[in-house]
Amino acid sequence: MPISRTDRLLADWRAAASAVRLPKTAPAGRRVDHRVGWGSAVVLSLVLVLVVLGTRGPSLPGPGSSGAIGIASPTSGISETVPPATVGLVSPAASMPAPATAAAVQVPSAGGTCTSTQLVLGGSQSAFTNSSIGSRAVNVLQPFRNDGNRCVLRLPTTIAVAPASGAFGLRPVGPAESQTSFTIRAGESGLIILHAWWWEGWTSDSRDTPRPPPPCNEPIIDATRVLFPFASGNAEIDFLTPWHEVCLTPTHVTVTVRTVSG
Amino acid sequence: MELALAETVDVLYERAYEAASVDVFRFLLAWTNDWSAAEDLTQEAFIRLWQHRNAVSWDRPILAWLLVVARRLASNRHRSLRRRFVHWRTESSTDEDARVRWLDVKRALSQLTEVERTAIVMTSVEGWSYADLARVLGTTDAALRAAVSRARDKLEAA
Repeated sequence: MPISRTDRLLADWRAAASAVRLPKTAPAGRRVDHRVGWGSAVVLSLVLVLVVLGTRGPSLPGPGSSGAIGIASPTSGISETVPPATVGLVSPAASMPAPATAAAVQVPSAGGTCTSTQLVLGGSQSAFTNSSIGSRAVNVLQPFRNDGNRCVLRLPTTIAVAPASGAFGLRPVGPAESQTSFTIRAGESGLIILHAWWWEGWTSDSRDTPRPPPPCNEPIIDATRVLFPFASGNAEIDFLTPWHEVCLTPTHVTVTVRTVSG
Repeated sequence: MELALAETVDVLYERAYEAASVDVFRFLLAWTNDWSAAEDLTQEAFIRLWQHRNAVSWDRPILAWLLVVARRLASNRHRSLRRRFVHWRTESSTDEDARVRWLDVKRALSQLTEVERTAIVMTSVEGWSYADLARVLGTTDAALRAAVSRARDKLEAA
């Protein structure tokens, strides 16, 4: 019986895939939790230059200012290799926790005229940034391009936030600067910049006694996903550097937009 | 005690990587049809597992969790990862014969959609049941069977 073209292709797929040599050790581990790639370093550096040059208004507010952005080692530094592994297939358990989908939460429209269908998103970048004593801060940079007509991107006052495998929860977001709406021309590119900070507690200088962080109501822990609303539709922004704690009150997230033309 | 627990999670994480990384890679290879992206996304999926190591139920098979995360990462990040890595590392982790063989297969499979490609590869090559794969992909058995049928038609007609 002749072998069909499909079966021959699939046999070739199996042979090719079996030749993979993945790194011997698992990535990250406890050595590095919050890493970005060299590509990220380049993008973040460029953004940092733009921000420092002060093309539009002051730096992001909050305990963590948007000063120097910490850059860590590359995400995928593959060095050692091993022969193809022979791993038995484990059937997925239906009861395994799966990342919650965005469909379960309704984020209020931000207004304006830009829609999620016309703004094409690139890959997000995230990194720790400067923060004051007792707090930590992370910036998330989400590139976009306007593939539709000229529109007005209004900053939302509410976003949805979730950990990698948990449910989304609505959280307030404030403007990082006085400007709250931005005109995005057709074909124009830009960045949505989300800045989140949280208290970690600190030690009093005078008595050397630890001071706990102030209350955080209904915290969402280790958030790595954001639903960002436009006039219609949302963008799901995923990032690698977790926001350790996002409170319902007080507001610990701010947002602004930079367009390439400034 | 905390140190012992931390070490246990370390071990579980390393074991999960040893046991599931190749399966995650193959799933991602089917989904993306891009060797480098599949390698990078495999790393990212395990970074996510590490970040959520304290919330994961380690007494259950971890592969389904990883594949759901991997698919979401692939959907969101495929383009950016390709852009990020393509200039300094392409098809790096294979020998030359495997690379050539892969490029032929890749060309043929590029005419399929992500779901069609994943459905036919994971069920016909990797031996997954339609029900298990449907849960990972968030679809139905029937939709997957239809996708496999379409995939076969396209590949035979090519």
